[in-house]
Amino acid sequence: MLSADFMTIALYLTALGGGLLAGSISPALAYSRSILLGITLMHSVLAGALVGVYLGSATSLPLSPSIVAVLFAVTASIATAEAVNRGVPEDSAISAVVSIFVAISIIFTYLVATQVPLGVSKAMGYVFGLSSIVTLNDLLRILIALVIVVPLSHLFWYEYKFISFDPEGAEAMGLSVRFYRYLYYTLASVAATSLAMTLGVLLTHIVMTLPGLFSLRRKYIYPYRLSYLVSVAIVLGGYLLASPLNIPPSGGVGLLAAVTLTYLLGVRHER
Amino acid sequence: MSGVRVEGLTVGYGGKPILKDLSFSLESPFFLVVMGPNGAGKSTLLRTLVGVLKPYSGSVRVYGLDPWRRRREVRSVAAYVPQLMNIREEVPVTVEEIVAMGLLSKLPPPRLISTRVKELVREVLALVDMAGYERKFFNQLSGGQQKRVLIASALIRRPKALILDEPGSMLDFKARCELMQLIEKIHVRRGTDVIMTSHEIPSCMTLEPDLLLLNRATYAFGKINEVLRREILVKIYPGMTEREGLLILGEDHVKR
Repeated sequence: MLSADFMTIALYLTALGGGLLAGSISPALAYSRSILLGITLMHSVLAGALVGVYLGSATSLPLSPSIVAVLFAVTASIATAEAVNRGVPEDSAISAVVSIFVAISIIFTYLVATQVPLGVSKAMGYVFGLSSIVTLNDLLRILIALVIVVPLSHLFWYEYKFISFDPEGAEAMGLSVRFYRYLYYTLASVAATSLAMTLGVLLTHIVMTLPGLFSLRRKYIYPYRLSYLVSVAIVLGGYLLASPLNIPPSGGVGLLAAVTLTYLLGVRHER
Repeated sequence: MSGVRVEGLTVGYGGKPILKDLSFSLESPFFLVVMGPNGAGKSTLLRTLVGVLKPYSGSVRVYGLDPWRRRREVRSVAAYVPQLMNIREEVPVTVEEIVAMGLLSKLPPPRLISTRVKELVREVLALVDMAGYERKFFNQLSGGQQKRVLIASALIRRPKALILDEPGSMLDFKARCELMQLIEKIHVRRGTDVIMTSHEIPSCMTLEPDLLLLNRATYAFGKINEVLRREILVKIYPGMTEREGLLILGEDHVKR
């Protein structure tokens, strides 16, 4: 049996890792006006989890719902990126991709509900998160995502920001707009899937967008310090807040996110 | 070949041609103004010259290079300055970052703004009369200053040619004239070839550029005094009027 102290430390480490993960990808989403991509990711992660649960049960394949969810999220984000590259407005591309994954979710919710005992509740873990229960697998998953997402998002930040600023000029300079868009959308997928299992897809969308919006609003040239600060404060603070309020940790995260958003809306925008 | 050669070019978007069977050639040093109504294919031509668009048919050579097949090399010799309308000003990008990217985009990652790069940025900003603006955000600048920064970002690549998409658009007369003087200065002093689109020949321009009149194909091409004639212009700009000896072209749009 694991001790209560270990569980508490693991819980806060996961929260810290989740905060850093959200903070590392959030500026890219905010600066490129891809906040709505989070909606695509939410639906594709849920569809992937349902398909993973179903296939894992109906076949003898050793399929993890998390892996299938990552694959679905990456596919959805690349499909969106490709549609945008081909001139489809981003909101239209997102709507079309979301509708496909909603359809998959509906079909597989039915299949899982009728054929896999407890399958729906397992998949629903992705919607609301399992933030009060942390296993070594959760910690490992967040750690792997951090190792992939953080260095790459920092390494290509300057290029990505420039592409967000002037895609036509960037293309004419020889920067591959398509490559960088694919890269950041894929990184967002990896981060979203890892966070979704802990926080749930609904809160994941919020913690992946708020820190970047904060940095964009404050007009930081290099937005990561503020983004990390805000995301860690929301996630870790939410976990700490949940204990005295006797609510699930993701509920605490949601409360802090709401306070942050209210502050953001109240602050006068300086040009 | 030391110039630009376009033969029988047909190009467009999504399989729909915008320019049809366009031909012209220029020998360096050249200063070309591309004019035509909205939708005539001016920007399409520029995008083809820098390898952003693939021709449906015909041949394009920029300093002997095929822009589509040898994009990277063409973008080293021909630097493109896009229109301001495609830029998202809310992204907080500094003047230094924009100009530095002009240079760093030629290099492989990681693209870091080193002390040497900062020095080069300062030099090129001085050339476009923007010294001291390195730390300013792009959206804190006036329209004319923003254009100068984009030109600096192109110049830092030390290109043989500057390709400018409507540099004078959205500027008042004074700012437009100052910008034209800057472009002329770059052409004369640095020997940089220039291709620019415009809706007019600015009256403050001192050079006599070549002029390409487009109307989805080459309508007229030659020296400015050969092309800017009433009988030619009236066919491209049917809404053209004449008042006190001045030809007013209006803002006609090509019918699709």
